[in-house]
Formats: sequence, C-alpha cells, structure tokens
Amino acid sequence: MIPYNFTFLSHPKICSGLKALEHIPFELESLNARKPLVITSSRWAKKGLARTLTKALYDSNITIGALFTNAPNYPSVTIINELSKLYRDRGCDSIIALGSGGIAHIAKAVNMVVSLKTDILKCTDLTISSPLKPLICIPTADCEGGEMAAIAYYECFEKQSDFLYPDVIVIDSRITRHATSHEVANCALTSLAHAIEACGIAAPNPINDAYAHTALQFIYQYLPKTIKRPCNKDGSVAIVNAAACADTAFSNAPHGIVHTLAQAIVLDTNLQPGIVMGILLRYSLAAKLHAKGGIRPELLLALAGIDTYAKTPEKDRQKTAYDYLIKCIDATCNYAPSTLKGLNIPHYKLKEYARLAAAKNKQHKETEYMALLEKSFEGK
Amino acid sequence: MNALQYPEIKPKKKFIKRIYIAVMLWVVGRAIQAAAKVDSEVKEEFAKLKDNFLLKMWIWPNGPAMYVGKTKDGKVKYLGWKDKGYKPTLTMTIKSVEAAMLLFTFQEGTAISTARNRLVVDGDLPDACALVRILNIVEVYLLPKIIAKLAVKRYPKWSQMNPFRKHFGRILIYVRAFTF
Repeated sequence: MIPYNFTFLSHPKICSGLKALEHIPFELESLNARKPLVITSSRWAKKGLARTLTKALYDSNITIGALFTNAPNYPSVTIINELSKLYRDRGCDSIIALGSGGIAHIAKAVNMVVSLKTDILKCTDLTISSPLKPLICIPTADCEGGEMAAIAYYECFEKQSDFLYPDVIVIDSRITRHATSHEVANCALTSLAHAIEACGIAAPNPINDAYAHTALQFIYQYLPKTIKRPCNKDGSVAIVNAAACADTAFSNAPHGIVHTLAQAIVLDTNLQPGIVMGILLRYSLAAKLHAKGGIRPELLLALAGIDTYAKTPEKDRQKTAYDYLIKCIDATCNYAPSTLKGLNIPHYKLKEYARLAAAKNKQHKETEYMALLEKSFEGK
Repeated sequence: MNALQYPEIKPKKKFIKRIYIAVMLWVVGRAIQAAAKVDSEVKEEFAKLKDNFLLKMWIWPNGPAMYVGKTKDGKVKYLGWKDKGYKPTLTMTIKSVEAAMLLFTFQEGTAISTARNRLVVDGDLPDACALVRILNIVEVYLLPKIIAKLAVKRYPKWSQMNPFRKHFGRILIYVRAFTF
C-alpha cells in the first residue's frame, strides 16, 4: 500500500550520457547565467578534464569567468573566501564544480557566500530562504557522498537546506572514466549505504524508494566490471548515476546509523567515507536481518529483478536480498577491508565515536552505536 | 591567491562543423522543396499543414538556420538560411553544434535525438510530428539504405515504398534539389 503522508524534493536536472557536457551552455542560459566560475582540482586539470569542459562550451555565448584549477580536497574557510572574492572580481553569475568530493562542497560553500552576501562562518547559522546562484555539478567517479545532495560540508560544519541541491548534474563518460578502482569502490559503497538507509526507514516514501532502488540496481549491475576497468564508459556513468540517485534519496530521509557513525570516524581519521560505510553496512545488515523488522524484501526486487523476486519464496526473500547486498560489498574486497581493525582504528577510540554519533543523531542510543562498532571491529 | 593565474576564457568557434551543418541544412531544405513536388506522401503531409506554415530549424545560439515554408499558392519553398523577418509557426531548435553533428552525421535519428533532449520544439505538436515524418521520407530518398537505417526510426518496407518509386524519386529529388 502506498503511504500517503510523505514529502519529497528532487531539485536537480540530470543530464547524463553521450555529449552531456554540450548541454551546459543551454542549461546555463535557461538559468539566466552566462559567466560561470569553474572550480576544479589540479589532478583533473592535468588529466585534461578542464580542457574537455572548455571545448564543450565552444560556439556558445558562455564565457568562463575564471578557471580555478587548484581546488584542494578539503573545503577550508580560506579557499572559500578566496574563491568568493575571485567570483565577485570577475563578475561571475554562476558556478560549475568540475569534480567530486571537496570540489563540489567548496562550490556549494562559495555559492552560499556570494548569494547570501555574507561570511562563510555566518552562513552556518543563517536559514537559506531563497534560491542561490545557479550551480552546475559535473561529478567524477570519486564521489564521497553528499555532492549532489541538499547538504554542504565545509571546515567542520555541515549545512542542510533544500536550496543546496545543484541546479544541474551533468554526467558524461569523458569526465567519469578517469577515477581509480579504489575511488570507484569508495563511491559505490557510499551510494550503497545511503540508498539502503534511505529506503530502510520506518515509514518508507515510495518516490524515495524509486530513487534508492535505481541506485541499488546500477550498483549491482555495474560495480564488478567497473572496479575491474574503471575507465569503462557505461560502468563509470552508471556508478555516478547511482551516486546521484542515492544522494537524492539520502536528502529525503533521516540520516541512518551507518552514515552517522561513518561521519564520526571520518572526521577523526580522515579515511575515505565509503570504505568505512562498507564495513559498517555489512554488520548493520546482518544485525537487521536477525532483528524484528528485518530487511525490506523489496530490495531483492531492485537488485535481482522481477524474475528472481517472483521465483524466491516469500520467507526467503529477506535472506536472498541480504546475500545480494553482501555480494555487492564483497566486490570491493580488494580495496576495502572487512573490519574496522583492518583500517588500523584503535579499539579505545570506539567509545568516542559512539558518543560523537549519539550527540549528532539522537535517533539511536549510544549503546546501539557501540554495539555496531564492536561487531564491525572484530567482524564477529 | 594570484588571480591572473586563472584567466577568463572566451569560447572559440567550431567553423568546420558549422560549415558542414550549414551545407546539410541547405541540402535538406532544398530536398524538402523537391520532395514536396515529387513524392505524393510528402505532398499530402504538407497539404494538411496550415497555409501560413513556416519552419525554422536552427542550431542554438548562433545558427546556422534553415527556413522552409508554404507560399501563398500552396507550394513548398526553401526560403534560405537568413532571417528576413519571418514569423515561423514551427521552430525546431537543436541545443548545440555537437547535437546537430550527431543528427546530421546520422549517428542519431530524429526520434532518438528528441528522446535524448537535444531538440526543442516551439509550435504545434501535430505540425512537428508531420515534419518529422517528412524528414524521414526525405532522408530515405537522399541516403543509401545502410545510412538511412540509422537516421530513421523504421526504414520503409518494400510494400510501403517500392524500389522503383524510391530510385526514381531519388533521381528526381537530387536533380531538382541541385538544379532549380
């Protein structure tokens, strides 16, 4: 039965596939912008992505206000302020984030500063009540989660607002195929955790389920071959599409236990969030399978398709869905250990992470966080 | 931060691609005019359109463009590539030069191009559908089967367009398109 009481918002327009980059000039003009500030990192600039983007803007009325090619992976206040100044000095009217992770969050933070005309540290307490400047996100396949969601991370802050969604997400194989297998594994595991947590809530939202299931389907189908060959065009585009869908689903659901714990660990250790989420997700799913509600059997439909779902007896669907999900996580075994101990996290730190997570997300008790951490530490 | 390190970049032009598209638009425009005289199906499709029908097909944002319209006596005419103050009843905008290249190098058909959001149509939907049907017929006449199969949604069967009609029509359309 469809539950009638829900809200759902997905703001971004997704342009994906062949020659998707060439859509940018038209999309920018329809957003009434003609002079974007392009933000990317030196790594992507060296790989020629900035040049690919510049070429895609040929034969249009779009002038690149500044092509900033030195964005760090950490969105610090200094870089946000410097880029905001560059934006104003050049008279830009929009922002293009070419890359994932820190680049996208820097772009969102700069957008807040230039749109709200205030300091970045003051933005944290402000409520965003009107649309920001147009923001186009061109993700690479090294997503860390949240780039395409209604959330921005900068310094040690986290800002959530419906206006923080990018306006357009452009997914093109010329951009996505440059990540490494390790980064693809990180991206897929983050998306997997976000998608499962988004549709595993007590009152599921049917539209959110559709996004989460699409993400799961893409990951299950394309993860093994993309990890082997990250330059695979279809695979890399599918993984980034999965990240986009999972981010939308994640924005419309409360934060889950895996995400909250992973954030607490990542803040302290600077590990890749996807790898941590992958470990926590494995044991969280196992605990859920034996818990009262169990895993939603619809996940099997999303992962394996209608034929397998129909063939599987009703009582076995949860276990089969669990097996499929573990198969997805196992596909990344060469790049992610199966326990927290394998990440060299000291045992005495677990209590601190549980306390941090409980302070941030009060939906679960500190003991629940601790139980999951203990299980994930030794793999018991 | 040294701002001079991060220059402002003006977009360059893709001259060769634009010339190719301009030539293709000219050929298609002239071929539509010729096909309206030669082929009964195209003639019927145009007869159903409004008397003041005028098509503008162009590449956003700076062209090239093609104008095809019906004259006062009901004939179909290619009106050139320059905007002489025409008021098009149907505008088909191709979003970028690259999208036009995919269309005019027959890597994508009109239907696929529309499905992939590369075309924007402004005008009556029945007119746009009629025009797509006309374009399909013209492409079948102009191109060899192996290429036309890529460009159209369904290549006509023997019963729909027999070889005599196809080859004879092809000769007439080419002669009319490139002579008068």
